[in-house]
Formats: sequence, C-alpha cells, structure tokens
Amino acid sequence: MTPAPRIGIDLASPVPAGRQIVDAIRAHLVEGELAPGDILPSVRRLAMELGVHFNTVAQAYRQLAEEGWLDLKHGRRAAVIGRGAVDAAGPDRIPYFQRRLREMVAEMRAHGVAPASIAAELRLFAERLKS
Amino acid sequence: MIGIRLLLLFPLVLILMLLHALPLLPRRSRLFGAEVPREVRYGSEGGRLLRGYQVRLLPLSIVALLAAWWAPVTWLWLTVASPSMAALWLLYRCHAAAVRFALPPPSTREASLSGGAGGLARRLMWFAPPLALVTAAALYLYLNWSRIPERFARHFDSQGNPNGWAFKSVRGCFGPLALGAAIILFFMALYMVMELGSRRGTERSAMLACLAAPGYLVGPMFAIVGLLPMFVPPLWVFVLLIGAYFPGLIVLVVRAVSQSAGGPSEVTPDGCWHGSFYYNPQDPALFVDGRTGFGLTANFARRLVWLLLAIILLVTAGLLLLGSKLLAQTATAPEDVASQTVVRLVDGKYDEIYQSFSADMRAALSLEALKSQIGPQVSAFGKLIETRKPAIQQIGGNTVLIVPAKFQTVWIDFTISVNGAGQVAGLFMKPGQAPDSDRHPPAYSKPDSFSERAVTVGAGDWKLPGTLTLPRSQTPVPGVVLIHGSGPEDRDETSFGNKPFRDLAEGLASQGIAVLRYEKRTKEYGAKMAQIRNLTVQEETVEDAVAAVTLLRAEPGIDPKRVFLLGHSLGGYLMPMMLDRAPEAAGGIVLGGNARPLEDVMLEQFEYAGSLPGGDTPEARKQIEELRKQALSVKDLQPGHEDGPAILGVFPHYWLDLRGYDPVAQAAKIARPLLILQGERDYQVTMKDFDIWKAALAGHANVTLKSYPALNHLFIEGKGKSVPAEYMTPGHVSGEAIGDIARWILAR
Repeated sequence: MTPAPRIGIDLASPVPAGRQIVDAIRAHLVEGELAPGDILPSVRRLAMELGVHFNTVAQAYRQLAEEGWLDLKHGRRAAVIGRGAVDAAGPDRIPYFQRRLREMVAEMRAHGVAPASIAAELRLFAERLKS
Repeated sequence: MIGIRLLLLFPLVLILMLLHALPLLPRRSRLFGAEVPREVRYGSEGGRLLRGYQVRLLPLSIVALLAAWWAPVTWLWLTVASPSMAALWLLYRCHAAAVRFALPPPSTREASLSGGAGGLARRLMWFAPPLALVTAAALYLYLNWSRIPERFARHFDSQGNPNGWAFKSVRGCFGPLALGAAIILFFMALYMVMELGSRRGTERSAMLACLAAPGYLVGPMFAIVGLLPMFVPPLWVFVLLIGAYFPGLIVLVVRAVSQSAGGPSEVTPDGCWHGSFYYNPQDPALFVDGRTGFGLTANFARRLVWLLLAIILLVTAGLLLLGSKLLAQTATAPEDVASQTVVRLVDGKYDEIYQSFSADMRAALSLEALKSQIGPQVSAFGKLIETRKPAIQQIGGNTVLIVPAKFQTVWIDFTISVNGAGQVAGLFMKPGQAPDSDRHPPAYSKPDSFSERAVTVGAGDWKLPGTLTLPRSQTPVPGVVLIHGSGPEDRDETSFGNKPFRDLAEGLASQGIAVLRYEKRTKEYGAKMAQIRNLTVQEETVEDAVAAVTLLRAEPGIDPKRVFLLGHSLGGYLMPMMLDRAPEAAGGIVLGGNARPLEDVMLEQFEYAGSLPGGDTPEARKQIEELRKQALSVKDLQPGHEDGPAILGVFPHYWLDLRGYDPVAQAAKIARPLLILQGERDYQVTMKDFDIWKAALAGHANVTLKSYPALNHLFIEGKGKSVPAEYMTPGHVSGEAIGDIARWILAR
C-alpha cells in the first residue's frame, strides 16, 4: 500500500491557510493520488496536524465538496467521490482562470524566477495534461 | 539494614543516570531544546556544552550518592531533590547557550491525508497484559473465596513480620486489585487523550512507552498484593520484580527514544514558548513536542488542557485517597492495639482509648467512668516498666489478648479484646504473675538441695495439679502439705508479685522437709464450683487436704509417720477440722489462722479498709457499708435460708455449715503437735485471733505459739501499719518463720 499523500502549508505565506489547503488537496485529487473511496482525515485531526483552526479546515472541505470532490454527508468523515464527467466550463469562467494564471506568472517573475524557467514549468504541466 | 539501604539507593542511581542522560535523549537535531544544525550538535560547540553539563552535574551526583549512603533515612529525599534542581538549572543555562546556534524555525507544516484511525486500538493493546494479570488475580480470589482466611496480613515490616492486617470482605480482598486496575486504566486514558490531542509526531511511541510502562510494575505488584490472602510471597519476590522492571523500562525507553530521535521535530512558533511552557491560542493541538526534554508538553492556551489537568489532579487525588482508605481498612494488628491501649492507660490518654472503643464498649464504659474508675486503679500500679508478649486467643470474631505488664512493683495482666475492625471491644485487668525469669528467689532457697516434680492430688472430677518439692536425701524425710487461705488460690498462693507458698516450699525443702502444694479446687474448677449451691469448706478445702496427706504419705522417700498439715488463713482456721478428718497426719501448723468466725474477721477487714486513706470517698463508703451489711446478715441466717442469695460471694449453705464450728475448742481436744504462728502486723487475721488461740491452748504441752512483730498476713516483713497496697510490693516469707517451722517439724 502506498503511503497516504501529504500536504503542507506555509504559515508565513500571505495566502490564507484555507486556500492553501484547498489548493493542495485539489492538486492531489486532480493528479489522481486521492482516488474515489479514499477517506480524508477528520476536520479535527487535519486542523490539529496543520496547526490551524478547525473552521479553516471545515471551510476547505466544504469548498471541495461544492466542487464535487468530496462527500461530507456521512458523519464527519470526508470521502473522495467519483466526480464523473464535469460539464465543460462555460465560456464566462475562462477569463477568471486566465487572470489567475497571469497573476501567478507575474508573482513568479516578481520573485525573480527566470521567464525561461516559468515557461518550462508550464510546459511540464501541459505535457502531463496531455498524457 | 544494609539491604534496605541498597533498595533505597537503587532508584536514586536510576534517577541520577536519567539526569545525566537527559540532554542526550531528545532527537538528534536538538541541543538543549534548541533546533541546531547537525554540525553544531555534533561539533565542538555541542560537545563543549554537553561536557559542561556532565562535568558540573557529576560532583553533585557523587555527593548525593555518598549522602544517601550515610544520611538518616528521613533526609534521603534531599539526595534526590538537590541533583534534580541542579540539573534543571543547568539545563536552563545550557539552553540559553544553545539558542545562539538555533536555526530559524521553518514555517511549513505537513500533514498526512490518511483518514485511518492511526492504529490507536493497536497501541492501546500495550495496556492489556497488566490489566489481564490483575483481572486474573481477581478471578482467582473469587473462585477460591471459601479458602480465604478471616484475617490476613496485608503489610510487612522489613524483617517480613506482618504489621498490617486486612479482613475477609469484598473491599479488603478486591480493593487492592481494583486500585491497581484503576491506576492502569488511568494511564491508558491519559495516553488516549494525549494521542487524540497531539499531532502525529514521532514522540508518540516514547509517550506510549512512558505511560504503558508503569502498568508493568503496578500490575504484577497489585496482583501479588491482591493475592496476599492466599499466598505470602517472600520479600525477594518484590526485590526481584523491581530489579527486573527497571532495566526492562530503560530498554523500552531507549528503544522508543531512538525511534523518535530520527525524524524532524515538530514546528512550533518560537514566540509561543515561555521557558518550557507552550502557549499558542492559534494551535488546536492540546499537546506538542516538548523542547527541553523529550516527550510532549501541554498547550496552555487551550481551555481543554486546563480541564484535563484538573481531571488528572482530581483522579490522582482520588486514587491516593482510595489507596489510603484501603490502608485504613487494613487494621492495626491486634497485638499493637492491645499494647497501645496499655500504654495509653498508663499515660492517662483516656480520650484516645475511648476513640479506639467499639460502639458496644462505649455504651458499657463511658469516658467519665474510664477516667474516674479505671484511671486511679492503673495509676496506683506506678510506673510501667515493660509489657510482655501477649497470649492470644480467637473468640468469635474477636481476638482476645492477655498482655502481661510489669509495673514498678506489680505485674498486671491486661485482658483486651480487639474486634474485626481493630477496635477495643473489651478491657479488664487483674493481678498477674512475674514470669519465672523475673523472680529473685529468697536467700534461704537452695535450689541444689531439692528437686521439684508434678503430682496430681485426688482423682476423678476434681483432681488437682500439684508440685512436690523433695529434698535430696538418702533417708526418709518428713513432709508437709500446704493448705490455702480463702479465695481461688493457686499452688503458690500468688498475690501480685508474692508467692508465699513457693517461698515456704523452697525454704522448707532446703532444710530437709518435703512440701506438697497444689492448685485450690476453686481455682482449677472455678466456674464449676460456683454452680454448687450447697458448697461447704469440705469441698472447698478439707477433702483435698485429706487426699494430699494420703498422697504425700505414699510418696517414696517420705516418712509416712511425719506428714504434717500447714494451713494459712482459712487453712489455719480449718486446721482442727482437717486434723480430725486426717488422723494419719502427724500434726498441724497454723499460719495466720483466724480463731473467730469468718464473717467477724471479714467485718473487721471492711471497717479497717474504710478507715484507710481513700476509704472515705462516697463510693468507697457506700461499698464498704454494703459489705458490712452482708457480713452482719450472716449472723441472721437460719436453717431453711439455703435458697437465699449469695452473701460475700458464697451461698448461705456455706455459712450455715460453719455455724457450729469452733476451731479453738476443737483444737483443744487434739493431742497431736500444733504450731500456731501469727504476724503481729497482720490486719486481716489479727492479734485478737492469736490471743484467742493463746488463751485456750497456752497450757497444752503439744501446742507451740509464736508471734512475729514485723510480719504481715503473708508472713512477709514490713514496717508500720499493714495496708492492702503492701501486697503489691514483692517480698518473701520471713526466713525466721520458715526456720522456726523447719526446726519444729524436724524435732517431731
């Protein structure tokens, strides 16, 4: 059995802890490291492990449930569910993600990451998406 | 004693070793609580700090060990406390030094996304074996309930002698096992809370080891203690258990620590540490990795932690209380209750005695009565010298102990019964006897010149144990039978520390006269005799005297023609009657025998007692007046009054039987030799009696009369007025009187 995936949060980061948790778990979901049927730690346990408030984790789980990744109905245990085919995002949502990508690239450049490296990273993601 | 000392030193050595190992125990990236680069931890700076700690602590440890070897036991705690305090201070100083090398704390924190329970149930199984052991012991007790004795030793001194007891009850038997189980369950609950309230750090196995380990000592310990009603293990079993436990514990802790020492340490913001206290309201964890030692520490910002601490304190206090309650139920040994009661009586601690009384006893003897009645009696005995090992008897649920106590001049037997709860349920005292080892024989007793052996006087229902004192002689010797005074006398006529018949037997035997003395029938068969309504002096005294003469005459080495009777007090009064009934007796000796009727002599004694200091209290006056009335009523008895109540301790028939008896008139008719001796200081049978004997018998050639100015009723020398308290002073029968008796007998 492969060890359960881990997530990490940076308490010093300006990004709110809740966002960091959602993003990190979603990454594992999208990449398939968390498969349907997997059980996530309870809100209490994850909050304790990460040293954040229970509500922060609960909020993150709720957002992931809204996105259709998690089933929160069975008590407190959060279970990963098969998301099935998602309806193609409407054309009105695309500009939002474009803006976020642009902001991310800008942040990377602001931190001094070379444009070539950024391009390489993006190409890596593009390659993975194709396979 | 050295063994005990070693036993105490053992934990001290372990604690000192732990203090020295303390900086080495935390994970490898830590130096005195600071997260440092490995090259600092294992480089010259780390080495210097660690060496500094050891070098400063070492002298203290050595001093503590030496002190523990020499210091009085009550100061031993200092030998543990002082190195511990010093180690704490050193740790603090070293921490301050190590912080300079500390890495900036990382700000990322990681968590596994595993949703499993994390193996809590599996880890809790570590608590199962000791719990199972305690449960098995309880089951064993339950199945063998009928074999458990009513009372069993629960606590032992260092020599292995029991000094604490418990009783067969659910609490007494299962209490220790329940307490042991509660302690183990408490640690188990504590571990559960710690695991649930902390991050999945690597310190967890160390915590588990620390909390599960006590159960492996507590379990077997309480199982052994719980099985005490069935088995009493030798002391070395405990020593072995502790001896095997601690090395095992060390192995376990080292393993747990080495497992935890590898991983990265938990991220906790530096600003939240105040010394070794963690306070972080943002952190939901109740427990976080400690910084100074190893293991977990509480996050004091969480209210739940305070609640938990309160619960831990309460449960600890509850367990201690439960433990002390169980100990309180293990009553003091009855022997200790008894000797304690005697000492309290002598010290006048009546309140404490009253506290130790059972409910029935309190009802029977009030505190006031204890103070006003028992108190003065005990203080009259003088200073308590010692108490001897008591004779013990189990009567019903009570333990009845007779404690011989030696006072300055007297021996008193305290009879104390102790009930199942260790309370005093009965308290009596009566004059006791000095043990043989305590007796100083009189100067005239020459133990080399005679031998003693047991004989039986009479036969059948009333046979009496006696002692024959036989001089070592080639030729037949004369013999004498000693006849007691009134009351249930033993063969020695023991009264407090005095044994006049023993003095007489040894004194006369030393001068070549065989002496036979025996237990009085009213002494040997007291309860049976008290039932006989038509008891007379025949059954009380005369029949046995006649049987004793017959016995002595038949003994080898005795000249049957020269067997005499010696009667003391009542025995002297009855001498003429006994000589009539025993015609083969060669003659009689009267020591302090009354010539007047018994009731007259007794009346005079009561009046005398009333005239003494202490006889004029209202209670004493009332008592004396009552006795006076009884003595006077003897005169009014008529035939036909036999069914009336007892007077002065005997039934009317006894008095009526003596009605016509005149010892002097009867003595006058006896042709056999008579020796009549009297102590002039005697207040019980007085010179009045002697004068009556003298007046009637002075002219008789076969009668010899003599009185001794210094002697009392027991023929013991004294000065001034003879008083009852005089008998409490041990003494010996006058050698002069014994010499006179011996010469008189040998001349016949």
